[in-house]
Order: sequence, then C-alpha cells, then structure tokens
Amino acid sequence: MNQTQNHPRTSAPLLGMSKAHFARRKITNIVMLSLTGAATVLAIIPLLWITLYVTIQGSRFLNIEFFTQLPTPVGVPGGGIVNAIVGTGLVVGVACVIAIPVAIIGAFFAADYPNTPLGLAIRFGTDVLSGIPSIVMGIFAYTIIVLPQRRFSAFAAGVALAIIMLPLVLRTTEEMLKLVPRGLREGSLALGASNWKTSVQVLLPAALNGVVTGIMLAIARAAGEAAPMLFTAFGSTGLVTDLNESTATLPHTIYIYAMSPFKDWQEKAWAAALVLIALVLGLNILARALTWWRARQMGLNY
Amino acid sequence: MLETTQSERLGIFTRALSGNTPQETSADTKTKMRVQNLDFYYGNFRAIAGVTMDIPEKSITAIIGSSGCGKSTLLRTFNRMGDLVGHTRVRGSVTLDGENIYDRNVDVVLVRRRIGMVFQRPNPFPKSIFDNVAYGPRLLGVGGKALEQIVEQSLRDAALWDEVKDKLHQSGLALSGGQQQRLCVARTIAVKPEVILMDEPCSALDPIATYKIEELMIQLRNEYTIVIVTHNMQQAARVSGLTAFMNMNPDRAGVLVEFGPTTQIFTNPAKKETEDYITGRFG
Ligand SMILES: Nc1ncnc2c1ncn2[C@@H]1O[C@H](COP(=O)(O)OP(=O)(O)O)[C@@H](O)[C@H]1O
Ligand SMILES: [Mg+2]
Repeated sequence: MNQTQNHPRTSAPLLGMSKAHFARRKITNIVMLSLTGAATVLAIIPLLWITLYVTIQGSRFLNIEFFTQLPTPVGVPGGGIVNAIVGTGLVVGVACVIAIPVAIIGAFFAADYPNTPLGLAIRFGTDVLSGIPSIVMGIFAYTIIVLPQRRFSAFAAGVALAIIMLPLVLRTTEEMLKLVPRGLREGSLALGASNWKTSVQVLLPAALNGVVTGIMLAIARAAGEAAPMLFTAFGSTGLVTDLNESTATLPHTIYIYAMSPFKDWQEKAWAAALVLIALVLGLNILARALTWWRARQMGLNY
Repeated sequence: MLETTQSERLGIFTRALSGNTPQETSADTKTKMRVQNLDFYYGNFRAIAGVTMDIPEKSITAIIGSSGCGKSTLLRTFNRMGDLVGHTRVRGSVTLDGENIYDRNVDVVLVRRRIGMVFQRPNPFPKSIFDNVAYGPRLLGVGGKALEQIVEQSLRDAALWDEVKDKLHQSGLALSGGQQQRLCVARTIAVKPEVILMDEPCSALDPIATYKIEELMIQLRNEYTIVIVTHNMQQAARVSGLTAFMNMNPDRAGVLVEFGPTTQIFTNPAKKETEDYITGRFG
C-alpha cells in the first residue's frame, strides 16, 4: 500500500502514480490513438478512391461541348448531356418547391409542440419515410401521377424526389430550431409576439444556416437518385423544359450509358458521373462554408 | 455573541438603505397586480403554494429568497411565461387591473404586451441594435419616422443611447453583457408595457453594469410597475419599495413567508425565518 491511499487529499495523484502505471497508460494511449487514426483513414479511403478514379476516368472525355450539346447517337463523336443537366435542375427544382415549405412548417410544429399527437406523428412519420428505399418513392409517384396521366413527366420525378427530401429537410430544420437558445423564443413572446411571428422573425433567421445546410444536403442526395427516375422522368434525348414531359436526368443518363455495350457511351457515363460528383461535392462544400460563415457572422453563443 | 453579530449585520442593511432613498409606499397606492392563492405545478410537483400578494402601481417590488424556492416560477406566472413549459398547471388567480390573466377568454399575447419581461441572461435577438428595439413596435404596426423616434427614446430611457447611437446597425450581440441587458430593457420599454418583470437581471453582470441597471430601475419606477427577482439583498434594499421573502416548505413548494415595506423587512422582520435569511444564517 502506498501513502496516497491513506491520504488521498494531501497527496496529488500525479506524484502517487507509479512508473509502471504511467508507462502502461502511455502505451494504451498510443494504441488507441493509432486505432482511431486507422479507422479514420479507412473511412476516407473510399471517398478519395471514388473521387480520384471518377475524376481520372471522366476528365478524359470532358470538354465544353459536353455541357452545351445534346447527346449524339452511338458512334457519332462529340455531343453532350445538356439535356440531363437541365433535366436534373428541373426535377430537383420541382422537388424543392414542394418539399421545402412543407418540411419547414412541419419542423416548426414538431419543435414547438413535441408532445402533441400531431408532433409525435410528424416525428414518427419522417423517421419511417427516411427509411423507405428510394425506388419505392419512384413506384409511388408512378402509381399516383404517371399512370393516371398516362405519361412520364418531370413533375412526377419532382414529386418522388420531394418525398425523399422531405424527411431530410424536416429533421435538420427541427434539430436546428431546437438548438436556438430558449431565451430568444421567450424574449420574443415576452414582447407580445405570437408563436407564428416568433417562428418566422426570430427562430427561422437564427436557425437559417442550419436549415440551408440541410436543404443543400437534401438536394445533393436527391440529385443523385437514379432508381425513382426510371419510373418517373424516364429519359429523353431532347432538351425539355416542360414539367409535363419526360426528361433526361444525370443519374439516369449515367445508368443508361454505363449499361450500354457501346464504348463511346461508357466513356460518356464516366464524364457524366464526374459532373454529378462535382455537383454533389460542390453543394456539400458550399453548405459547410455557409454554416461556418453564418456562425461567425452572428456570433451565436448564448 | 450571536445576537451582536446579527444586529451588526442588520446595521449593514440599514446603511445600505440610508445610502439610497427607498421608495415611499403609502397605503393609498393603487394595486396594479393582485395574486391570490396561487399554486403552480410542474407535472405533479408543486413549485408554488398559496401565494397571495398585492403589487402596487409605479413602484419596485422585490422578491428575494434562497435558490430554487420558486422565485422565477412565481415571476413567470405573472405574464404566463409558465405556459411555455409543457405539463404545467396553475390554480388561483393573477389579476392585472382587476382582470384575471388566466381567464379562459384572455388573449395571452395581449397579456404579454402589457406585462413585459427582462431575463436573467441578456437575450438580444441576433439582429441589429435598431431592429432589436424596433421588434416590438413593428409587431404593433409602427414604422417610418415614428419607429425611429420610439427606438431613440427607448434607448435613451434605457441609458444606452449615447453608447450606441453611432452603431445602431451593428449586431446587438456585439455589445458587452451590461449593454446587452440595457438593450433588452430598451426593447421591453419600446412597447410601453405597464408592468416590467425582471428575473435576476444583474446576475450575469459586473458591478458597474449592475449599478447602471439599478440606476435605470430607479428611473423607471416612476412610470412602470416593476417586479424584480434578485438574490442580491443589497440590491433589493437599494431599489425596492416592497420586498417579498420566499422560502421552501418541507415538500419543496415555494411559499411567501413575509411581504411588506423593504425598510421593515430588512430592519425589523416579523418572522424569524426572514431574519435568519437576511442575516445570512440560512441559504
Ligand atoms: N421547467 C421545470 N420543470 C420542472 N421543475 C422545474 C422547472 N423549472 C423549475 N423547476 C423546479 O421548480 C422549483 C423552483 O424553481 P425556480 O422557480 O427556478 O427557483 P428560483 O428562481 O427561486 O431559483 C425548483 O425546485 C426547480 O427544480
Ligand atoms: Mg431563478
């Protein structure tokens, strides 16, 4: 027995620790640190690998024309995927218009009235919704829109993507609203503001960076969905801006080109994949930058 | 031995009192708010039991008591802030000019317009100084030149104008803690409430900022009915006309032990509990 155990208060633990104990702890520390390091590297490798591989493969066939020209038939050199780029923009745009207002209003309700039946239903519903495979969303949109209208359309694709985006945007918004200091809400209510005014004028601006980040991540996720497109947007070789027509989209184009037996189409699939990855990565980086910038600007630290 | 210490301590408070002129409260002062048999429950836990008190108009009423005895809870029943916490229940009544604010037909938004609140931690909105003060008046539809005048006047009344007049469009969060709290006072008086509730408004502030807030309260007490919760007894002695002392029952429910003119509470309390608390033998 050493002294420290009899006089825990008078002897500092640092001095009481034996050399062997100290060495053991140091080794444990080094081992754990290496393990975490290794895990981190393992997690990053796929990202770097995919990005690098797609960049190398895709950039060989990438040029200005690729962004501005319509596709060419098999064997005809040149051509691009402007129709798919515009189509993805169109479809994601529709999805945003539908999903964002619903998600934000729902998030306010879930955050303001967490223990009411409706609040619980919203939370449960979004959890379930975010677990449903995207192909099911495609079949759903196909059944309720494509079949009755008897045509594939950008609108149907937008609906499918909206359902995918809804839980993502709703949950991030709700989490961000909960992070807004309670004092801000009370401060507004104490001035005689209604719940609604408080939400719109104080809570939403304070949570805005997080909300925008959530929206961007949801867009990035939706833009990359190929499965629902098979049943909804379907694809087109022409440039489409009419919501009621079928349209090409980036992931669907990649799918068609990559599965084809033609070498020039397969090369275009790589280039299109690079465009899609750049889009998704760009949105993610933009979201991070925005978060950082808003946080710095507002100095939110209650 | 103990007796002398005790009377010495009472003497300190007497001196704190003589430094400032505590507000005169005469018997004919109009009652602004009346609290009757008030119980407040968080779920099954009774945090307030049977509080009855009359708050006179245009004066400062202080609520003192040990930590956790329900001062904030009581104060928050005065403008129905307690409603915001789920699973709470109120029994008894709180009236403003004779109207029960817990009546079924009462619009809680209107109650809070007439009874403003300044919180323990300064909570300016992440907006400009101007927009912070303009927030309340804008809710009432005030704009343009009139709004600018209200903002300036409110900042002047809150003794903040000279410090911020050149940076009205900077963020309210860029101010110091004491300035932020005065901004919150300015924001509150911009809607001209009749009553201002303050929950330990100086607990996050340094002594100089505290002094400024106290000066401000003394200015405001001529026009507003102020109720302040404070754990700083000298502060209660310096600014208030009436003092309420709260304590906890054995079941942890907060009760009002003694309520009367500040001078009397501090120099000649009727209850032993009160005397023990203000002479520092308790809490
Ligand atoms: N939101 C709440 N839910 C449940 N109990 C609470 C809540 N707020 C306060 N209490 C309890 O009510 C009692 C009084 O709290 P409070 O009014 O904050 O005291 P004080 O302001 O005097 O320090 C305490 O026992 C506290 O634990
Ligand atoms: Mg308190």
